[in-house]
Amino acid sequence: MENRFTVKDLMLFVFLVVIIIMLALKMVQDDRQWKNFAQIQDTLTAQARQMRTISDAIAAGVPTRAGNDTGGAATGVAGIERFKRLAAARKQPGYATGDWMVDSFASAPPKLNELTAQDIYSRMVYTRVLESLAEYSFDTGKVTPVLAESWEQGADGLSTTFKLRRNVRFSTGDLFTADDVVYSHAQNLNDKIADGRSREYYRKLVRVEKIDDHTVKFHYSESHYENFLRATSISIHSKEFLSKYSDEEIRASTALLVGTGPYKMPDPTKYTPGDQIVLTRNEGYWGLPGPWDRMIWKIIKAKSAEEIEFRNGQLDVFLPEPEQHIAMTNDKALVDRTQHLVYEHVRTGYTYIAWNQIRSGTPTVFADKRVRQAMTLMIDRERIVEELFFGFSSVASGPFSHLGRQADPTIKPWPYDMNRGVELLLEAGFTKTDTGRILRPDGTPFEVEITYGSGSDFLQKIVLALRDNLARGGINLKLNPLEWSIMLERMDSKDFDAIMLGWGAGGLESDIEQMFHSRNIKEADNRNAYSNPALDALIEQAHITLDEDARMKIWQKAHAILHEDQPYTFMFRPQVRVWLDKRIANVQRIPIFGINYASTLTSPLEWYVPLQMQRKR
Amino acid sequence: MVTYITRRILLMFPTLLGMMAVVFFIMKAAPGNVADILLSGEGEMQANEKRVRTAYLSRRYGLDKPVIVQFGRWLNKVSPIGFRTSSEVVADPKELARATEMLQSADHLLKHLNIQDLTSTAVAVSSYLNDDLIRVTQRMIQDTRDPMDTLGWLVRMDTLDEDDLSVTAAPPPPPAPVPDVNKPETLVPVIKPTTEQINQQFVAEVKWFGKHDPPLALKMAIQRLRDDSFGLDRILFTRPALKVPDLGESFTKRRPVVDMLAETIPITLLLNLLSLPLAYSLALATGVYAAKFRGKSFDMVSGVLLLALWSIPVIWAGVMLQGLLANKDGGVQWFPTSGLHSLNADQMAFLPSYDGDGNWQWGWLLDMGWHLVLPVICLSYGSVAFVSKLTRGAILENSMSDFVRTARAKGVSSNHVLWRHTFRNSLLPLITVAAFIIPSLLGGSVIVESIFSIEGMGKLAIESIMFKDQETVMAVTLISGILSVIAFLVADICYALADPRVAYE
Repeated sequence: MENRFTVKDLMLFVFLVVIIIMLALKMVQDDRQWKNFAQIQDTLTAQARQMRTISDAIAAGVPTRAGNDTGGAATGVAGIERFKRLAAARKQPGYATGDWMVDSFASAPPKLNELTAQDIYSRMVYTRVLESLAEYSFDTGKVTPVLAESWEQGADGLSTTFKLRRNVRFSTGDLFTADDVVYSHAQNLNDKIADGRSREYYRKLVRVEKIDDHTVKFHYSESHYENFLRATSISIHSKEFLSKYSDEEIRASTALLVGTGPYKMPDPTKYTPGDQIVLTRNEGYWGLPGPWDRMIWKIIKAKSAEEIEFRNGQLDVFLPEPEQHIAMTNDKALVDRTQHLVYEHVRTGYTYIAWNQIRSGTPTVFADKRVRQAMTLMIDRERIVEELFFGFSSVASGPFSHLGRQADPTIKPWPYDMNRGVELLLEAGFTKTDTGRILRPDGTPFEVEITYGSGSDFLQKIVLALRDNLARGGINLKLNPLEWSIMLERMDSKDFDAIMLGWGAGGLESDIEQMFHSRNIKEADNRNAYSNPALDALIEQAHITLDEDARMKIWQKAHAILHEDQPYTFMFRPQVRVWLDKRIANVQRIPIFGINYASTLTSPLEWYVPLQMQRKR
Repeated sequence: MVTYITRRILLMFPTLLGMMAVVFFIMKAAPGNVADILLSGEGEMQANEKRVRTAYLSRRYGLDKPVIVQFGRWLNKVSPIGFRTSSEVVADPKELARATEMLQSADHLLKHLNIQDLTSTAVAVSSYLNDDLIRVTQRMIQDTRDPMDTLGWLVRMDTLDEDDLSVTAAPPPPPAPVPDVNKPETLVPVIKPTTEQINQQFVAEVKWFGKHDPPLALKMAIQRLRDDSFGLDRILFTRPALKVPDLGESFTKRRPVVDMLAETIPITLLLNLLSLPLAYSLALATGVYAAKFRGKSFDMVSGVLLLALWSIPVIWAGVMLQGLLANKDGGVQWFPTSGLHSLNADQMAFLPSYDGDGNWQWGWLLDMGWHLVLPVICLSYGSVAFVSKLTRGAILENSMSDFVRTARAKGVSSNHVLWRHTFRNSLLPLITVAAFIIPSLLGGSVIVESIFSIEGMGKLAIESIMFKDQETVMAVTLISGILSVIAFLVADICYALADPRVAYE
């Protein structure tokens, strides 16, 4: 009898497979524990090194600060502008350090290193680890020193000299010096690492010169107000640590993140996309330490799952969709055991409809300012905000947020006025038939094709509302949903009537040259071929005006021109709906930033959990 | 049998090649340009910047070559036997010394760029230029980083525009009948033969400018070195060699594709290795039982239930399971919502145990199992229904056949008839189905992966297709292609094992 595969054999086989899988898993776990062990050793080594430095200093008889008690160093740091708000929070009666803050990302950032990462999520992580020379302050919205102590602008606007803070250490224990600034700048320009990405961003920062260990001088190729902001925005990496790796290794690695910030990666060399991201406290942080012991980001792709985790108390921060938000606010029990805020901040982007003024070489009807104004007048933006956004948006009046200083506060968005819109069209040579249809000056029916991204139900709803809206005015809006890659081609070839898009958030001050200067019509982002010499001149003037107040006045004039010209119908600025666990204290509304937490700035964390409510110690 | 298997294995290669070619050319024919997609994520682009960067990205990823050349390059890269590329050639010390000397003088020149005093040196430098030297320099730039970093910001691509060239108002360099590198190339079914010619033309141009405008010549030379070191490796058609297959680097994530596969495949395999046996054992049990008691209440009830299960979409089932079994507010919180590990999984022991303080803890293994329950249910219930119905049908069909009747007539016990005669013959359709299920499981778990936030192959595949991430799409297709052909081969072998009537002679 030949050998048969019997049930007994099957059981044996299954048993073997189970054993092998168990062994493999055991190896994974051992590996993890070994890494934990290695981390502990690293921490010990770093601490030992610090101890040695301290004892060396004591032995050498370094004079200590006057009135130095245990909190002496901390009071010194608390005096720095950057830590004023945190210092105030620390004086609150319930203030305590500890606990873990658990947030979530909708997709796993592929890389965490600032040099190679390019998505918003990685930015939320590395801004807790890396610091830059200066950063915006929550109170004033102005740039305040972080790793720089002070700076001096060159008289010709072609350089800035930064005095660097002393005794700042990276989480590896290495001292921060001018070399790290020079190195970080060079690595941003290193094509083998950054793929040419930031090379253009830092194009005008031609050289960083080390004057001495604690002074660097940035040289600019031309005078431009953004030079200083860009110089201060360079995240400082540890040269000592990174230069151990080759360009290819840095490029291929997902991590290699070491900075001077309040938090650090437990193992800076290892991150597996898809695993939760954990940052632990940087015990050797030079400034006021943050309240949280750990920052954790889980990867949760589905919004529904995210809501469940938030309801279960497994997530501390949750940004719901509008519908979810409404359902959640109706849940009395949930509202009682959590806290939520709706706010707008200055760094939000906006959505818009661009009216193409030149198509295949000939001017379109939208080249006439009155037609563009009419289109804006005939779109009921308020109603869309109310019915589709459930009120969680505001109507934009121009490219600048009304919370910032660039916007002219007297300018209000154009109202919804169908009659006035039709009148303007008639003035521009259009005619209206008895049935209420609008005809172009050449007698053909006025039809506009709107191009927008396919695949989003929400966008589709907005476009349908627009069609309904314009139909009332006698204009036929034809819909042209396109996939993103095809849309990009259309944008480049300027092959569209109208296009609905959004501009993302920038810093506190946004430059509008990219989309509205006529020099960017040909091959860049002035997609609808808008040009106005007066605006071009204002933009150029703003670029070379280094005095902030004077520059703001110029931007306000530009705002007025754009409001009058309506190259875009500026649509909406989103509002943020944030839900937080009840135990998080000191959540405040503040002007400009909306809330005293900015996930992509390096500003110190001010939220904390009072001792009796802490879950993890 | 051995001959048959050998033949099948040999046939795998043309099958795979065809598969890859179809995927590659369809991907290339689809509208949209990778460089555009990569650009768009970054905003802040000005006219010149965009042009420079598009060119840069195209060069970096070889997208400016004809499609067929790109496919050829890809094949060369993944094949274990193939041509080497210029970057793999190691220079000998003499060459390295020459290149170092050249770069040092170039570096020195650029630091004190002054048209008047440098004429003689610049010409001397340009005379070094030849194809070998470019290759050596390239190699050297990879080994030592410093000289190029210094040059990096001095000689920027955008400083070398047409404007620069026109300033000299010089007559064009000696016209040579070679294609222009910048113009879109027509489809030529060979790897472009003209790199040598282009180099010759280039050297001629540099020499010409070396006489008339030495600093410009120098700039051109250095830019060329930069381009070559960042751009494509040229394929050396001299000697094919054994090499490590290279799956390339993801455009969008800018990581080696191998790393990404190494992270995602184990997770997807784990999910499937758990759900497939589970699904099959459940399905076989219910299917056989239902067939044995055909028309009885178990058959009826299981039939209705399985039909209902089969028609439930996974996306709905997943969300419902989450909402009912992992939700404190709407149901019970018996299972975790997402991920594969708890927050403190790192600090757990491997097996369930008492920790130092005498507290019971479930351990890393059970924690992971606990996280896997809902995803595995979601992955398997559909196949349970399908396979169970299939088993029932097959067994019923076979139990009416002649050999079963004969066996019964011989007086063989009914259990023996069922398992030895009916069941064995009913396995054939099940094997066929399994051969189809296995490859699709790898990419097919995308919905479950999304609902439960598990980073697996399915998500990787979908994302890379969406962003036209060529290297990743090709790698994923290659792997699932290999799995498919292997699964079909194994299925064919299984036919022979299960059914003595099947023989491949």
